[in-house]
Amino acid sequence: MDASDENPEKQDEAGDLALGGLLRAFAKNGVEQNQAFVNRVMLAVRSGEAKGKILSGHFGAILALAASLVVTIGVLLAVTGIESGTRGNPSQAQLLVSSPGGLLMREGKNEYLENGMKLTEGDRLNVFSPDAAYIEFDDEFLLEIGSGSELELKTFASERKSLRQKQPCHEVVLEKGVVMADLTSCSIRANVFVADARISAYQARFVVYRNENSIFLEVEAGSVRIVRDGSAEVVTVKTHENCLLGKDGAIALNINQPDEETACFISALKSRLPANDRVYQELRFQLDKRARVDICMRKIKKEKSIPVS
Amino acid sequence: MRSSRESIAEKLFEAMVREHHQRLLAFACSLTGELNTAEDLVQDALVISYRKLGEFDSSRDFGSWVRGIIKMKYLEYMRRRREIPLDNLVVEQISEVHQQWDGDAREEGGDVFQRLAGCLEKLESVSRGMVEMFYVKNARSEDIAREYKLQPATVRKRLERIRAGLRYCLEQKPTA
Repeated sequence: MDASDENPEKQDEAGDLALGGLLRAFAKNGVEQNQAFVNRVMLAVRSGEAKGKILSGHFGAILALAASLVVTIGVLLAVTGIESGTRGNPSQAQLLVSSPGGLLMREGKNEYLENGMKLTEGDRLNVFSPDAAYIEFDDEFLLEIGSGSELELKTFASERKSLRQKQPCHEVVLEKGVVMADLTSCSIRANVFVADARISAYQARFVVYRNENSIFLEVEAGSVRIVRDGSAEVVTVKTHENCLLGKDGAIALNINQPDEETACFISALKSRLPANDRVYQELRFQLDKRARVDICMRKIKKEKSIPVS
Repeated sequence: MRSSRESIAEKLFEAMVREHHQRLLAFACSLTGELNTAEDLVQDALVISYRKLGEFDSSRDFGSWVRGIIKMKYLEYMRRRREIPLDNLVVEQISEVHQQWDGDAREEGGDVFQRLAGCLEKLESVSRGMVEMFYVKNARSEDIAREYKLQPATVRKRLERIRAGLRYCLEQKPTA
């Protein structure tokens, strides 16, 4: 009798967990995603400590293994094509602002930012009020936009219709300024595009500052990946780590003692993000209160319209 | 300068990564319950396996060897996060299930993903939708219940039955 026979419940739990892992990996099994992951592993293999000298036994082991390879990639690809371009219902997003000062550019027209405004894909925002603005998506993705920032809401995530469909994600282009993206309660990935880099995160919280010369990223929770255009290199920045991206394609990780110029730049940008959780909670409360008032007003109007016999 | 031997070794290792990574990812996902951490664990494990290939007995199964490294990386990860890992027995049994799937693929050809695709096709659309919501979109049973106008307990029960059905389907020998 083996150990599993004595624990049918644990065996059942293990079976369910194994199946769950298989289903999740199956959902990710697309050609592009597979290639990206293989590139990422090989980059890690080639860099740093992994790049040790190949010993003769080592080389022999690889040759022996390679000889035993059974190529099933074709089969995998056959059962898991990516269907792109088919989208379900996009997420909804609304704006929360506490003070006037900001423009929404939509289809060539400008209007002032207002609390509770509904936002759509393609909207461009320019926040120049002293306080930050918030964009709240209904899938609990929260984007805080610092004063003096400009961004475009390129794509809202859509519900994926099938396991084979391309992974949905929110896409935001930061033209200038600073944003904090909070995805800790959101189960959808978000990509923030800044200059020639894509900052990609899933269930993470991070701040991105952008000026003319560089981009600075600080990760507060989870891990965030950076990919620069034309490069297969993926840099992962983890919790409490930071990263500076220079104009020339340079990437510097974990700057604990930045030079004076960088430090000034970071501190200046940080000071432009005055809002904090308390401000957000207050805004949220005001908006809820207003919604309750609206409902109340509608009820009163309805009651008044009933003719008195 | 890189020697041609180094370059060939890398190319061959890349072929192995291509061959095995998806199955390794499935195993890591079984432990972590989500993809991002699973990807990190698989990446770390493959880097270690490359460094230690000299120690590897090539008569053994490569996937099974790397799964052992993933298990160690998983325990290390949970320790670092001060979280309680899965029971050791459960981890061993998950490993056995994956071993079994590998064995089936070797004996009968095909691949467990191919078989899973076939099993998913057999599900009725509501069940398939529930599986997608739960495993792809990481929706909670309450959200699924709202979507399908059911009680959360009903959704949980139904998911349990779907899982049992899928597991049974995966255990069946493929028909020629």
